[in-house]
Amino acid sequence: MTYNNPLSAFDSIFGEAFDAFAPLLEAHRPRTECSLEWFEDDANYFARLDLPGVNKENLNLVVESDVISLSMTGSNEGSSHERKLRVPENVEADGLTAKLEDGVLTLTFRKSPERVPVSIEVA
Amino acid sequence: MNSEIETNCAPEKKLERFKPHYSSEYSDDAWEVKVALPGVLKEDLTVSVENEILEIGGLRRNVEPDGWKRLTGSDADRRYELKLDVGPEVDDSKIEAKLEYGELVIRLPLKEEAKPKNIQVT
Repeated sequence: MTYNNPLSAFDSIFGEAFDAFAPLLEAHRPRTECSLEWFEDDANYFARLDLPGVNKENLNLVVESDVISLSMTGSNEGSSHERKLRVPENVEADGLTAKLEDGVLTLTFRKSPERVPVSIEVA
Repeated sequence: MNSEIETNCAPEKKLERFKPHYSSEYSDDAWEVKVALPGVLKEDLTVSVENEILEIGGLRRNVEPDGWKRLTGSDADRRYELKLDVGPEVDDSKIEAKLEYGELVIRLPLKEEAKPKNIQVT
């Protein structure tokens, strides 16, 4: 399972440097807010994504192969931008639902049946 | 002798602070500021002006439904804080703020005397 984390390539470079100087840099540590989070339960994967200022009418979701494209027009006239996420492996092709509330988009991916834990009776 | 029985310290719910993204735009009669506050509800938001400083504070609660297991990121609540210098041209008493779709839009009308005036040419 891989998640789309564009900053992951930089983790090791910056992580080590900051750890070494942590006491000095604490006050000045650049804060990169994470705008994409992943969760799961037995039956689904969930992605939560920050889309401030976007409402349903301004958002278009397209799934092609294993990539979800979100295109949106912002609250500023004429502004538009796009974000892409990778669809998790082993999810049902038609099992994607989306909910947008208070500028936060929650995507639910239903896991394929073989991914759902099944308990086996021992005879 | 202190005979109080000590119990565990309850771990404080983690809180991370961020400066939110924002944009501002001037028109002839007002200054408009838009602040990105995804996941912040009205009751957890404060907007105030004092001494020409506009101060915005919002708490974004991390809410995870029962049964969800977190795979990435932090489970901390987030606090967005922003201070902007609005200057003397703004009419404090006429400021309007609206929170919608996770975005706060603040309208700060200019004082009459600060608005541009057309000059009649004779």
